[in-house]
Amino acid sequence: MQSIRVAPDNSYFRPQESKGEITLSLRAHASTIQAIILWLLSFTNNAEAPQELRTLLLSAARTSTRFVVATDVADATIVMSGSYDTSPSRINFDQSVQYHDVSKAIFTTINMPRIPAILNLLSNADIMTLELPENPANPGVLRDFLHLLKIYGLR
Amino acid sequence: MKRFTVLVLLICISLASAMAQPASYPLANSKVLKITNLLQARFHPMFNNEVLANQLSQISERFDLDTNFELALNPSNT
Repeated sequence: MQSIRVAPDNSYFRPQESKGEITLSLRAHASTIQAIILWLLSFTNNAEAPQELRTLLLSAARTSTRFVVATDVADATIVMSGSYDTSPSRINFDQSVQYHDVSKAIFTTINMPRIPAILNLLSNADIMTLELPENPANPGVLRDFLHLLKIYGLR
Repeated sequence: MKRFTVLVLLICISLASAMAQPASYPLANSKVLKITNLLQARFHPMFNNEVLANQLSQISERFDLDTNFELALNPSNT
């Protein structure tokens, strides 16, 4: 799979290719997420849709600013999380990254102090999940999930 | 436990996505948008997939992208 790197916003908009890697701007990612949110709103604004589903998706689209990105590297799965701001369009990454290697029974959390290292982890990501905040009454257990699988198709 | 739950959920999403048949929509740059909607089929027409395809066509033109897009939706309660 051809990998994708994320460039700092306001650097350039066009994807750049170097050494087999495609670099996309954060603004491209943010615009894609906004398009998906508009798609969800097309359902929640549809009066024919069931009220329960409309409420679930509407809540997710309007309140979900947290996301989880998972990427497979050899036998390992790296899971990173962050938040997304709609105004201005910005993606913030948490400093800790989860590292799972089922073949070696490794489940650990790695602190990533360097932002560029975190951005590189997103480069191979093909799964993006928007999640609602944790339920304050039951911390540690995520309340409702809205899963968005996003693959750019660079293969 | 939370990490294990996330891992299990991601595996379930991947398996469910692999089993579902995506709907394809052409983009302006001759690439395609594939949407795998895991809601019941009767809900699928209630999404405006054409608007999403148009938006992604504009994004592809603006950012000079030459890629396919695949999107899967699986809302669930945990």
